[in-house]
Amino acid sequence: MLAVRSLPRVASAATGQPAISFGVQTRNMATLKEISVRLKSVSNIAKITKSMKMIASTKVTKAQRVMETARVYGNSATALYQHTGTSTNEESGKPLVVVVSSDRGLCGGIHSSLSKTTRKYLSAHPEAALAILGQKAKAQLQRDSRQQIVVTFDSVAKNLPTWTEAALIADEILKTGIEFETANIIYNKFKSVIAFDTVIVPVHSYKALLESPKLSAYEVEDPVLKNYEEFTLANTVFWGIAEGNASEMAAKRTAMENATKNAGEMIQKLTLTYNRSRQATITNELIDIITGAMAV
Amino acid sequence: MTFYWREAGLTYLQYANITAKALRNVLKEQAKVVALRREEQYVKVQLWSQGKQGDTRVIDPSGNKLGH
Repeated sequence: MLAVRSLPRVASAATGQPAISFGVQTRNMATLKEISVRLKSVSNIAKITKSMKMIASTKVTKAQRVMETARVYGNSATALYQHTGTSTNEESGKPLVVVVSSDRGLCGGIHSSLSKTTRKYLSAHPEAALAILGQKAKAQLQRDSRQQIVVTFDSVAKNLPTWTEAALIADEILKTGIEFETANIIYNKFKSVIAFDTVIVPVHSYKALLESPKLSAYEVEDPVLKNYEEFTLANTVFWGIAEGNASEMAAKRTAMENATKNAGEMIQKLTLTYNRSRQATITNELIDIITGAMAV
Repeated sequence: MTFYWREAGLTYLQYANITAKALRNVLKEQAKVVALRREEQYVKVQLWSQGKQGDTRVIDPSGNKLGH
């Protein structure tokens, strides 16, 4: 009775524990080699992620400096809309959506966060036109919104973001001849080294600005406003790239830090398993020798 | 008020970049090197129509052919 009851318990304990698998593994030498190969590859990965983290941390500070200056320009540009009380009615004209992402991956969920926000916006405004900066957002958005894409840009923000680059992009967007009432720039706003926020910033067309209630206080003429519209688009794109770049680098730093930490844990576990199975092999060989000696 | 460069078919951004380029070229030697580095920019563009991606085009106003 006792033996019957204890049998299933032993069986369940055996399947649930890795100890038994060690027992199986130690019988053949190949697994020992397998573990050492695995150990080597994991420590190589750890080295790579560690250096990537270092690179990202130095880039964060640089990107942050650029972002601080870009933010001043960006805020001043949008401040005018508040002062003039500019707003667009949702019905007139189709909106343009500019998604600011980049080409590089391995930085957590910042690109998918952009795509998610864009999809949400597009489901509310199905008539919107789409301009995408960076390959990552393009790859994610072309699956279900390819009909809306008008223009895409590659190799954006390779180095530190510059105004020249943003102006090139904005100029190219304007050249496509999209008639837009509002251009919504979607980018990742840098909050801190560990947090970002995906936000939508509107850039109004000069027609909308012309119709805003308090514009008369500024005493500007039409052609100037047209210039202003172009400038603001480029400026906001620049702002978006700068903030996006800073958030990306910060996210990459965190992602790489976590990867290094995980690799370290893995190395620890693998070393333990390796040593244990090595010892088990030695013990087995000793037993073989002793039994052989006893038989003689 | 009309702008002569707009009549010539330039956009504000092109105008601004041309003036900026002219300014960079007359800077003192030390500042010029740093400023000219900022000028080296290129972007790759694809125009889309009806859900189809067009050919990739490189815009490289500095003419350094970095992206080719």
